[in-house]
Amino acid sequence: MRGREDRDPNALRYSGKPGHVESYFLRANDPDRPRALWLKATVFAPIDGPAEMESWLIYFDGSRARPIAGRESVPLVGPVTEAVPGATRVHAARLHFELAGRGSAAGTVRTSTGDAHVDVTWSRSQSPVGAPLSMLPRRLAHGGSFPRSKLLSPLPSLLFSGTLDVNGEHVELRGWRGMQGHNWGREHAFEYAWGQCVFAPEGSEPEAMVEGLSARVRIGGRTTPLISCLAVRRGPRTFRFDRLVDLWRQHASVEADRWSLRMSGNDGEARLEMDATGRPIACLGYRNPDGHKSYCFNTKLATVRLQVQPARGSAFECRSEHGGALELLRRTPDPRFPDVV
Amino acid sequence: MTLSFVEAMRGWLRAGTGPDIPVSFEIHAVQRGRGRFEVKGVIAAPPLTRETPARGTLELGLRAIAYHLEFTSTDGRALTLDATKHPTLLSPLRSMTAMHAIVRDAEGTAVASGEMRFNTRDLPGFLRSWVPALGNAHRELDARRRQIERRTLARDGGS
Repeated sequence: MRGREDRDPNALRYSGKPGHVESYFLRANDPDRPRALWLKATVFAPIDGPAEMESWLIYFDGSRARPIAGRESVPLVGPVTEAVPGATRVHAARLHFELAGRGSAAGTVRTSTGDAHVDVTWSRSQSPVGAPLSMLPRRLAHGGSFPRSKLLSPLPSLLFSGTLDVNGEHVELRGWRGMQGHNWGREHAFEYAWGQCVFAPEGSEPEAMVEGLSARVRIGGRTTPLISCLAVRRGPRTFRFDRLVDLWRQHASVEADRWSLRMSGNDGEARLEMDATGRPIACLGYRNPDGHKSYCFNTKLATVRLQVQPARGSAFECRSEHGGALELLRRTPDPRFPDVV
Repeated sequence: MTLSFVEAMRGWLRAGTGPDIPVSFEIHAVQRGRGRFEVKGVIAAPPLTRETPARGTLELGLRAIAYHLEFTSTDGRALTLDATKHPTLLSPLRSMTAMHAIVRDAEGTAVASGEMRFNTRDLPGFLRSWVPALGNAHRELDARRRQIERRTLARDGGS
């Protein structure tokens, strides 16, 4: 019998009831220049009011101070996803995803500079790094009421190709690296820092990736301290730091545009630094089903340094100059970002 | 009878004002004289050096256990790591598991320094390694070292 934990990681969790928000998102980074594309399809079901589908697009170019970003909302009509053999189709406004190991995203999203057209395909990394990943312990990732928002990476390492037409610019995606994620819940976490980075294989160094999270969540009307988890993959090995409750082995620091995390556990010790200082950042207004608004400060061009001291084997380090996805969610806006998407 | 064992030490080094550097080594020590061991193994201290072969000596005395390892940095410099444990009955666990380590270049200039520790979870394997018949930790480490040597030769030969 297939248990809940064996479900397709892209299976829709929205049951049609109010009080739910669920997203499928994609990210692709140019390995040679600080450029990145982020796409998201969201089903938003407020407690009061009709459900909507949202499409999101951000194009980050390190040569510009501000990214080009846009969002479209339409009433939810019909099913959110469509199951086809080996894939999950998602339609959000004029944006369409076919989520699979060999998948595609195509469509149009209105941005501050006019319509942006995207047409990309991807293939999953064939290394073990590309297997579906849950940072949270399995029992928490798939069920239960804690945490209220869940997160999975069905495709944590992808290789993209295709085109993006935005602001009169034609961008060719050739060998861009990225990932596909899936999150859902009754609300967004109260506050969080989330980061992900894929490190391409280089010489004898195998492919690697890191994904981590530090979040404050609401329990019984109180806000917890930062609770962190981290997963690192390098070649065939996975290092997990996901005990959650062992706060004495977690040291997280979230600043305006930076996040640092030190974790230790049975798999060893890991240190992660993600810095978006001076990089283009978009401020996204995330609605919660209960009416509260959260602000997500989102860049895909963060610098990343990951250092791991495994309990078994040699220490290693992975770096990226501009390949880090960094999202900092807060309950308050930031005056540096007057334009909220 | 020739004594031998396999030991792993891990820690963090500081180089100037830069970020800490993770450092680990795993060595196979073989007795070559009274209290004197020849060591071969693998060291990593990225970005100073990725996983690379290391050779050196270990002097085992009642008051000091001194490690001296020689290896090559990622950019081809000859480096050494020196570290000494000072066993004392006043603090037996800490004094036998922690040591100050210094990495120096060929001119003897300190490149990085910090503390390395023996993880007590490695103790069963460490004790077993003193009796080669009980395991093959030394063979696994020697095979890993040779694999890294071949990889290094292939990389340097191809450049």
